[in-house]
Amino acid sequence: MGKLLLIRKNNFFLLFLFIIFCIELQGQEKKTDFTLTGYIKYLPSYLKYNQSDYEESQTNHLIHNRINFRGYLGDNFSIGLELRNRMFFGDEVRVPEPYGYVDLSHFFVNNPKFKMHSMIDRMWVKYQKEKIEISIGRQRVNWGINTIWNSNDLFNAYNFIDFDYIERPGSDVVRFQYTGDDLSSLDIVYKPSTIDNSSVIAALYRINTMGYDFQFLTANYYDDVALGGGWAGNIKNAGFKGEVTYFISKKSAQSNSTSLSTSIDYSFKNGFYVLGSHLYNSNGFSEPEEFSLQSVTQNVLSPKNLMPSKNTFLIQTSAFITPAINSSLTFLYGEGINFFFFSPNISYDINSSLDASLIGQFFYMENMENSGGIENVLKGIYVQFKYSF
Amino acid sequence: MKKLVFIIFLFPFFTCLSQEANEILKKSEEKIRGIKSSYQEMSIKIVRPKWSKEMKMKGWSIGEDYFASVVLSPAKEKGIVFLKRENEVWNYIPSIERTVKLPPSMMMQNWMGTDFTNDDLVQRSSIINDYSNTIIKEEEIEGLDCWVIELNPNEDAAVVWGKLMIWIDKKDYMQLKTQFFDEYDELVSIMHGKSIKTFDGKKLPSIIEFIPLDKKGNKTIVERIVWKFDIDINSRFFMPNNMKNLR
Repeated sequence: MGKLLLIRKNNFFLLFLFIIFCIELQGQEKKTDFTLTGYIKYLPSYLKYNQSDYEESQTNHLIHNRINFRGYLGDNFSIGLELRNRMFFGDEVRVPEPYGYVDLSHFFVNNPKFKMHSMIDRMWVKYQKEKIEISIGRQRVNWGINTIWNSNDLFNAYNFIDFDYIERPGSDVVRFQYTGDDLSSLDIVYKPSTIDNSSVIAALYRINTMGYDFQFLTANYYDDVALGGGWAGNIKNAGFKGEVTYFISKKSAQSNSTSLSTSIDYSFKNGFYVLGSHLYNSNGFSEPEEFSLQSVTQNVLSPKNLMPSKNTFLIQTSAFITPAINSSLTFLYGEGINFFFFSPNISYDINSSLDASLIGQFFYMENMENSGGIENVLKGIYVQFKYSF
Repeated sequence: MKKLVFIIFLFPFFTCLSQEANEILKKSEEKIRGIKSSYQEMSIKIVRPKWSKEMKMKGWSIGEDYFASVVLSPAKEKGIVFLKRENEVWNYIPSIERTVKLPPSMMMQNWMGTDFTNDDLVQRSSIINDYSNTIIKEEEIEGLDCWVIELNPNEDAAVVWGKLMIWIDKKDYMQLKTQFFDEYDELVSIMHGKSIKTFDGKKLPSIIEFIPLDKKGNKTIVERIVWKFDIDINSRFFMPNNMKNLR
């Protein structure tokens, strides 16, 4: 029955879109244009665990293809379709659960050690005229304004250690945007759900004043009412950005929570870049006993829990070694739970369409069995070859 | 007293010179940017001793205050947008669908691996408003008579360079050569305007070669393919919300 309702709801959506389409296309000259871009990546990885509940080491391979299609129909309509096709083989292969209003993913092969999976993570229609923009479908609603952690990113929060999915999943929403003349704008997003009390409605208002971008948001967000805001500006020559969201629980005041993220970054004349960032997550742990490695490595899907620790500090630096070789280093510390993460990265711009990267991810935490010394629990080495088209 | 008379007599002479330099610079800048607005398509080649890279992009501007550019190729950088509105600069990254506000320190960075800075690209600093100017001599470049104008930054101006010298041809107000000096008065880069062509009825160098002197074998070559002036464009085009639509 639930499935039947879902299909009927979808049909209403499609019918609605089709009607708008027809009305709009009638009065227009046909100025259609299409673009197709994307990439193919090969990502072999080697993971070495130092924990009793895991296999000692794993070797995995991932071939990842992304296709981004855009259609421009007349002056006011555009459509977007983006696909993520992946082929995994190796020791342990995990694919996140399907998500969204409609399941737009499919396993072509699903064996424990070999999987072929396709997923549509963008599928939208957009109508734009003067100050108004209306888009319907699976899309990225990116409300983040800060650099690393985004407490305001209500719709597509994702684990920041997952470098393979920078595009992040889309959300199935209806979105209305109004842009004023003075750089102010209003963004209203409705995310329907087939599950009771799981739909989200949220609004974000942006203004620009005194050299700062400011934003304010409010949302009926699952079990909470969310209130928040963010800023992006500078102190002297350094960038100063931040976001805060306060989640007021509808069930009990004890479940209220806060996510606050700030960052300062600076670029030196010689190209050396440094960023310092802090995240406060009131839902986070503050004792090493409460923390396990999975809470970092598994996907984060809520801005209410961007990192497992209450206070997390991060330093990131990057510099060009040669014009074609860029290096970066990220260091993260989860206070209280005594978690350390360290990630060096070297990328090489081979030619106009080919890149190669070498990425290391090293996780350290307190060994509870051995009187609390800090120990490496996981080493990950990734190589990435990427061909863009 | 003698000194005072000398200063009083000389003062109008200097202001006259500086007004003339101002006028020349203004005409020359208007030629590049149009009186109201401009549109250009260009290719940019980055040359390094053992490596080179070519990009294509489009750019739009209204006066000195509004500027937007979008990268067309290579594929991996396609759709990256830079937007300037007065003193603020934003960068749109299509792969993560995000607009990033750039801090002022980022303006001194080289733009996408080229030899010019973000500041040069978006022309954040204005050579008329942020510098004081004087004609210091006249010289010939490839048979064209030029004024040589020296620009010194105003005290409170947030600019990248310590001094600039610009060669502007007397007939068509083309900027044929620019020397860039650092704060210690040392010559750090040279820019040459070459291969003069007619764009939208105006004679302009179609190729700009930018050579940093401290890095041997490095240069950036900008070639204008299309250049139009006083196009029909609204300031709403230069909104952070519009960056994702540029292509």
